[in-house]
Amino acid sequence: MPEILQYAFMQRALLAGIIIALLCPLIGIFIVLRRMSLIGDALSHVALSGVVAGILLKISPLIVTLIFSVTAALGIEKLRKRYEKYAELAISIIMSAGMAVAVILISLTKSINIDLFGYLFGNITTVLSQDLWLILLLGIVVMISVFLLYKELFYMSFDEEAAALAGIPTRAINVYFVILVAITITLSMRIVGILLISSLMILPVAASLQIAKSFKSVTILSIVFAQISVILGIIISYYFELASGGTIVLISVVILLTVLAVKNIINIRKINFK
Amino acid sequence: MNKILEVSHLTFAYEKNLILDDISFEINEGDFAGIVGPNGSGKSTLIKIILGLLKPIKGSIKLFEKDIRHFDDWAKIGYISQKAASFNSSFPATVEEIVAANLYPKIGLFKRIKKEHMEKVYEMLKIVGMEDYRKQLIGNLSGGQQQRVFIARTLVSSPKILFLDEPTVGIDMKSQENFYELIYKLNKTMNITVIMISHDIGVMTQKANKVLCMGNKKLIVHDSSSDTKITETLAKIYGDKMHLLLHHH
Ligand SMILES: Nc1ncnc2c1ncn2[C@@H]1O[C@H](COP(=O)(O)OP(=O)(O)OP(=O)(O)O)[C@@H](O)[C@H]1O
Ligand SMILES: [Mg+2]
Repeated sequence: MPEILQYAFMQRALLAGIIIALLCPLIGIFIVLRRMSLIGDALSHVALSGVVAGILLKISPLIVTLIFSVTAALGIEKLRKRYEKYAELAISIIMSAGMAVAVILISLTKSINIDLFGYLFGNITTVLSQDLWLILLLGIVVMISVFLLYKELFYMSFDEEAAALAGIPTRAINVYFVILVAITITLSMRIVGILLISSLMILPVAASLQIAKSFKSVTILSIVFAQISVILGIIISYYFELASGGTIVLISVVILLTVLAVKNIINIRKINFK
Repeated sequence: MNKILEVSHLTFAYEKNLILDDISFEINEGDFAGIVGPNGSGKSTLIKIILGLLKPIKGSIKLFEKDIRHFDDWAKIGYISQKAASFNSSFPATVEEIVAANLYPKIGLFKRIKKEHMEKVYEMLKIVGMEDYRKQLIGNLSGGQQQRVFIARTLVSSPKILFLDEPTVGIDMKSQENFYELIYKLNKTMNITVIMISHDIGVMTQKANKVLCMGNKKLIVHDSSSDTKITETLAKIYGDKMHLLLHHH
């Protein structure tokens, strides 16, 4: 067994990483195509307040964050309906509130907790086995949900009005989807860090959009890119003692740039050939 | 003849801006109805109300003799919106995937697409003459081709009635003609009732057996039983602009 797999914490980190690298792109595709990337950011800000509250109350930050972010997700959907023509406004309101609460709670802790840094930037040494169970359990729930609602989410991303007219229960699916986003963010923050979760949702999708030949291939490629980023990122951050979130996202950026470069070269060749 | 759509005493406003003032009309099975009228006369709004996307202030709408508030058989209704041609053109889906989407409600939540569904998709693509493009990304097609794909998407759920909101905008003359031929064929051979918004008054007065003229918040129906000439009504709703339009054709 390679050295890296001998430690229990690394086994947990890798397992958690593989699950997260499935969830983030799966959710990310719909976030990108429905132009909802701001929602990811807003829920991350709320997640921060959940983490600090958890640390203050000495309850599992993951559980508190889960409650906070799901509540915020429902709040966003409610506000979106109230401000139908200014949907971004709803997101900004929740984002501001989340950040404000987080700042106040941080000031209450008096000192900047070292734990907090792990949540902000990602820290592979901190995935506890109870965390792993939660990630595994809820991760499977999210994956099954996306799998079962895949075709409806696809139609809604392409044309929500037509989907509603065709008889798809778009309202209910919208609410459920935001909850899935909230869960995914909560589960991912241990490995990727609150500040970088939305990057892991968006970058692999952005790269696969460049070369995809169908919606199915976007889905598969996004997952492949995310897996490469997360697994490689965790290994590199272990050997060089780097923050895992930064390493993972940097690899995603490199993948995106490589895809763009290769695509350009191929396009230039094609033009020359003609 | 079966009444397929019945609109009575419909009144609608956006906030305080009155758009439709007490309009009534009927559409029978097999009709080819054209809706004409100047920009902003409420044509798109009317269709959205009929489809239940907007709520009227007053009046009632019946689809297949059922009040739309209780209507739930949406597979019978096909709709191609004015903005269909301007959707996110980089959306990463193939023609086939887009067309299959309209089968989803029938397939049901949590279920997967089967081979027979894809055969139906192929059949519909054939009707609109796009079967060779089924593996292409939708964004790589021309506007007219995309419009055909959207027709196929609507047809795949076997609609009885088709609403089209300015389907030929941005499409060249030849393709427009082909498009009207296609719709005409669907209307005559598959007995699909067609309700089409168009600024192409010449074509509408030719092909449609009913022309709904909208203007000044009102709607006037012209069909074979009307006493007044359609040109008179058009002159009234378009005002001076009508002279230009008539010269056009
Ligand atoms: N969402 C909206 N909110 C408020 N007013 C609207 C809205 N949509 C349309 N209107 C107004 O209602 C009127 C009718 O609009 P509608 O889109 O139905 O016109 P139309 O007959 O389809 O015009 P066009 O030929 O340009 O497509 C217009 O004056 C428009 O400004
Ligand atoms: Mg219109």
